[in-house]
Amino acid sequence: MTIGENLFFPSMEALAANLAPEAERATFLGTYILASGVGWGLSPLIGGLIWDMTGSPRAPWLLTAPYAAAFLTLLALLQGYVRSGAHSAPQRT
Amino acid sequence: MLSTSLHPGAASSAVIADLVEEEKRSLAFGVRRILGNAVWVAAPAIGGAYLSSGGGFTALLLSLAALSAVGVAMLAALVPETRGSGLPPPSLYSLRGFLSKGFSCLCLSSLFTLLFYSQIYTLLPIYGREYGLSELEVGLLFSISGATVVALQLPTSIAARRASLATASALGVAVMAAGVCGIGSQAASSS
Repeated sequence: MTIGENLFFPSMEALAANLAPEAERATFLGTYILASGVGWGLSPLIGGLIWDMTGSPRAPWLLTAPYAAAFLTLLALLQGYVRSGAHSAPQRT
Repeated sequence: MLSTSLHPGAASSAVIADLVEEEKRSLAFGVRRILGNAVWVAAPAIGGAYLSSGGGFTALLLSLAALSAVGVAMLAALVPETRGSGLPPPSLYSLRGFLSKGFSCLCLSSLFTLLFYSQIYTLLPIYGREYGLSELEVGLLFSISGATVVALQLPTSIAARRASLATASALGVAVMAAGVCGIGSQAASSS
């Protein structure tokens, strides 16, 4: 799992940096970190709720599959936007 | 010390992105993870050894403050200002960029991934107790994870440079998801 982290975190942060316009890079990276933090913050609540509601300690772990599927879908969409050139934030003139 | 000033955050990430060309950014962010995790692994042991040898909390906290001050001084002396002087100041105009479909997808994909993955850090200790792991064993798991980052982040990042960032991210999520599902399967077979 840690090797997965090693692949995931630096690559995603580099993607965020590459999508941001130079003048607003810190703001974009801050927004990316905020979105990640929302995931970090909600995860224990959702996992705990699922555990208590189902009474099964395995349920929160096995529900990983839909989340991972959501990630892959969004990533595929992102790739589509990047290829079409529609990813760039508008530049000020 | 440096880890203090290199802690992941918008400003430090932007400085790294400014200093490093686009195709090397993933590697640079990986190197920052190594430093952060090295400190994560070593600091509790150093602090624990100091306290075990009779040192007090006040002296420990004061030395941490002094180390932080050294980190800030090094940041001021060694890291150049990277924000170009000709760049326009940020404004609410940025909101249009945030709403771009590509960036929204990126943020949401990170959110969904961490929704499942960060349970490792919160539910795993409870789960461990449920299935007979001691506090020491749970602590060791986290220490091993930090040590694995220190040992393998650089080789992983170098190997991942052959792939696109999206491919590397997807592969990473697949490995993370397989591991998390594996924990659930283990629970199923143990119960």
